[in-house]
Amino acid sequence: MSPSPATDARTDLQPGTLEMLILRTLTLGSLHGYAIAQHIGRLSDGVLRVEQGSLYPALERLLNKGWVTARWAESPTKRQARYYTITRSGRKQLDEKVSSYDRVAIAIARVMGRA
Amino acid sequence: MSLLDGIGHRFYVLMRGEAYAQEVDREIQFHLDLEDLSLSGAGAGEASLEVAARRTFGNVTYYREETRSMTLLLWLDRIRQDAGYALRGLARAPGFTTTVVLTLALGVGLNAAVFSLLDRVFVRPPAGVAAPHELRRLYIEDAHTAYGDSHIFPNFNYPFYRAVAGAFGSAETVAYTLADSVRPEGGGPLIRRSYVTANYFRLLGVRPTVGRVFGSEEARIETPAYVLVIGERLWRDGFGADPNIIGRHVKTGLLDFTIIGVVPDPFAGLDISAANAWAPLSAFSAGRLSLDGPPWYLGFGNYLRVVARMPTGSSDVVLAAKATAGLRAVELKGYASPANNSVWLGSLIAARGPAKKDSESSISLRLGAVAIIVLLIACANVANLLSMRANRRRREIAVRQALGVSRWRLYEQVITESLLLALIGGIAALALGAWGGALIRKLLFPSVNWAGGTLDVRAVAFVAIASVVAGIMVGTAPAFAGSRIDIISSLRAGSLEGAYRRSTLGSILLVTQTALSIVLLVGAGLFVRSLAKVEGIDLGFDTPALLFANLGVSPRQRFGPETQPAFQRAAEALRRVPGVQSTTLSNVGPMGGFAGARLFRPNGDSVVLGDNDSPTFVSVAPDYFTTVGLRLRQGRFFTDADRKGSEPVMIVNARMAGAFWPNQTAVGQCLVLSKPTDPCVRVVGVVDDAHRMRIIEEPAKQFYVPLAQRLFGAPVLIVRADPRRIGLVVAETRRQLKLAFPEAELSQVRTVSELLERELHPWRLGAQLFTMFGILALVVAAIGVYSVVAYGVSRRTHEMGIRVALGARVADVIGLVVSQGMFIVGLGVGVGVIGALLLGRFVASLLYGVTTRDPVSLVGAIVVLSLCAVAACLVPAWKAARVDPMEALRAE
Repeated sequence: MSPSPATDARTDLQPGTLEMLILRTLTLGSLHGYAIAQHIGRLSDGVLRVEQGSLYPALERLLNKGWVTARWAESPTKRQARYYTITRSGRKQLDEKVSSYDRVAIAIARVMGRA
Repeated sequence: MSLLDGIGHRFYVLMRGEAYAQEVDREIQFHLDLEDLSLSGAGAGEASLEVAARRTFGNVTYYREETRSMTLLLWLDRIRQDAGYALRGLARAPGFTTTVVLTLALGVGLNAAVFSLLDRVFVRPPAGVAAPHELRRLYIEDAHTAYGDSHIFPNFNYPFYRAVAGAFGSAETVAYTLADSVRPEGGGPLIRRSYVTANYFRLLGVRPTVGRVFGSEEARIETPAYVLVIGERLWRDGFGADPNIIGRHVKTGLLDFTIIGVVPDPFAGLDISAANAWAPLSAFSAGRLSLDGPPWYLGFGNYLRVVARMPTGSSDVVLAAKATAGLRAVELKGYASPANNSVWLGSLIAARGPAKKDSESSISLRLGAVAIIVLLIACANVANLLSMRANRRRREIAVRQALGVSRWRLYEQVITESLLLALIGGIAALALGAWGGALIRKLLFPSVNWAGGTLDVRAVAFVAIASVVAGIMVGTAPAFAGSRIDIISSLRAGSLEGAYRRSTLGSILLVTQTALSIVLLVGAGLFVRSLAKVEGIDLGFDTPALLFANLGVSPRQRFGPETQPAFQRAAEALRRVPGVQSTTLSNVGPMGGFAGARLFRPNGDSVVLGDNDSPTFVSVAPDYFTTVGLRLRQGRFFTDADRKGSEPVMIVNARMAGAFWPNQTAVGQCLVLSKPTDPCVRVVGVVDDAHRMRIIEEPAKQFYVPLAQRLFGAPVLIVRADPRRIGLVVAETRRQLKLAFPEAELSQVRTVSELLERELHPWRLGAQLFTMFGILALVVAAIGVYSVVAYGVSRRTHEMGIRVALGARVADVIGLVVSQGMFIVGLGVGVGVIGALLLGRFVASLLYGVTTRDPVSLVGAIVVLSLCAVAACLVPAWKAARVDPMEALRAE
């Protein structure tokens, strides 16, 4: 069987959720892939670990949809890295995703008796 | 501008191509490096570092593949890669590749050939005609023919055509004759000339490129206009595309035509047999027997084909009814009232019309089904070869999967390989199809002059589609079989592992092939047996030994009884030629026809019999019977004493004797011929029955009278020759005829076998084509059996080694392999026999003298196939028996 990266419990993200997290992260500014992964990992206290195998395909999808753009630039370590920037339609998309995510999150919390 | 950004990115990827893939690699490398840095910062050891990185990132190749698979260009790139990979793989296995390509080429090529034939005969409307869907061909149903059943034919005589054209009102009709072939005086390409009504080109929407087409000046049937419109191709090939073509003369036979126009390609008339020149119907002579007498267009010779253009909104049914009414109002002298005849409107494509199909078209339709069966067999065979190949490559595939190649990717590769094979096969098929198509055309329709080549754009498109479908069909099964491999066990073990499992898929495919081959072989057997039965019919003559010569009639020449002495002299001269056994004269040649006469009993009662069953007669010289080989049953033959003026005598055949004088002796009876007042003609002998015109005909009542007592036209010279020297005798007869009648233009010498060949042709054809296809199927199926058994043996080398080591004899091993192979073949044979019995009814109407359950054909097919299968099993079995046990055990 081919090895699957999605079987690790810690990284089990719903499809679409990773895109939302990436877009949210990019609202901080232009970042390269590794920084995006680091940021998500740090903010979630290591619960959400974005692996390269899902990160770059997700970024490619976002590029194809036109929600982010990419360009090569020099990183602080003097190496060439590919920096991603969120576009206007990316922001709009993020707003929509966040609001629908909020609705679902609140609904789940209610059902679980936590709100 | 999300849309534009997205498109911009895709375009960027597309333009960068491989460079973009490198970009992605670089990005991932950057990621990995940073990851390394942070891990080493955490103090992990070198060895565990690599492991940790791997654990975090998973299989790098896999992700890279994943990222790359997202773009179109990379997809195309992958196809190129797969194709390259497949090509290298195929080049490494030339035997396999050749077998597969040839098998597919046979299957697809045959289909291309038959497809283009069926396309021409049944599908495509005549080229160059405007709005062919508005055109209808007209047919007449003759409800009471001499044969007692109704039949429909597309031929009209001129009065009928006029009546129908008149009744049609606003729907205009054209009439034309089938093209005849004439060689113009002074050489040049053959002119295939059709005589047409003056409105022909206008109604069909064919406009001249040079000069004009027929107009009102050519419309009158009574005033012959010897003008000619020629096709563009004839203009180029025959006249060097002469720009001053108008006014040039073409002399054919006795007639001198003036060219008035050129019509563009691809127009070539309205039939599958192409015409390249057109003359007005008024110039048509219908091969008239004489210059005097009524012209052809007043009589009932059915020379014309009729096509009508339907006005929009008109109804076929209404017009057919009108035309039928018009037809029934016609009164033709000497013709049975057409009161029961009707007009039908049918497809412009003659083979699709309501008329009974000729056997050639019927056979070509069945050939379509046969070709598809051959393709199926070929596909089954190739699928088998491919799946065995996939099995042999289990380890390779397992390694590739372990390296992170996805299952879908593997599937793609297998499909690519089979598509590639199919395409190479398709190219070979085109060559084969062009050649085979020409062959089939020639065999099936030898007299048709085809416009255009065998394979055209449509046929090529057909081959392309057939190849792709075949490629996917043969690729799918092995692809799934190949991609469903347990990596671990395949990697751990060599071919030893699991020893030998018979592949179910392979067996099913083999059963299919065998069954289909049986169906084709039984079909071939039925046709061969039909042909043998037809050829075996006793015609009453010694046909292989007979030839005959006559003078023919032309508008200028008519020969009468006065030629008899000259014929007599030629006959005597021929008797001295070596190889000639005897010669004689009669009024018609053997199988050449008969004359009819009214008969009366001696008391004046007329003999009333059905139309179909009236006795007919032939006038013959005394040595006629011994020459043609008719045996005497009673009485005597004619002698030289039976002259004009002596007592009128006749000889009857056995059937007539039985019908007229049941339980009596025919010899000595007498009948009155022609007029009741004529003297009674005495029966002096009874001979065996002989066929009158056709090989397959109802036995007829026939009688013979002395040539000296009854001769109307010129006689026919009949020669009996040694069949081995018949060619020589034909030449000598021709020479004698030329000596005796130097002025005769249309004299001809033919063997009776030649005459019969036309009727035998469909039978021979069915037998040839079905046998050809049956043998193809057999060869392909034998390859299938061989490859399956050989593969099985190669997988069991180890087992065979043990068997031999434990004392199995050569015969034991061979028996084992052959019996296992033949078990599958036996299943196929069973299925095939059932299939053949079920499918038999589709060819039943083309058979003669055999039923579709003909045991000889069934048993023959089984025996032939089984022998081939045993032979195909024996080769690998022999190899298995000679396995060196030490080597087999040591290997792997």
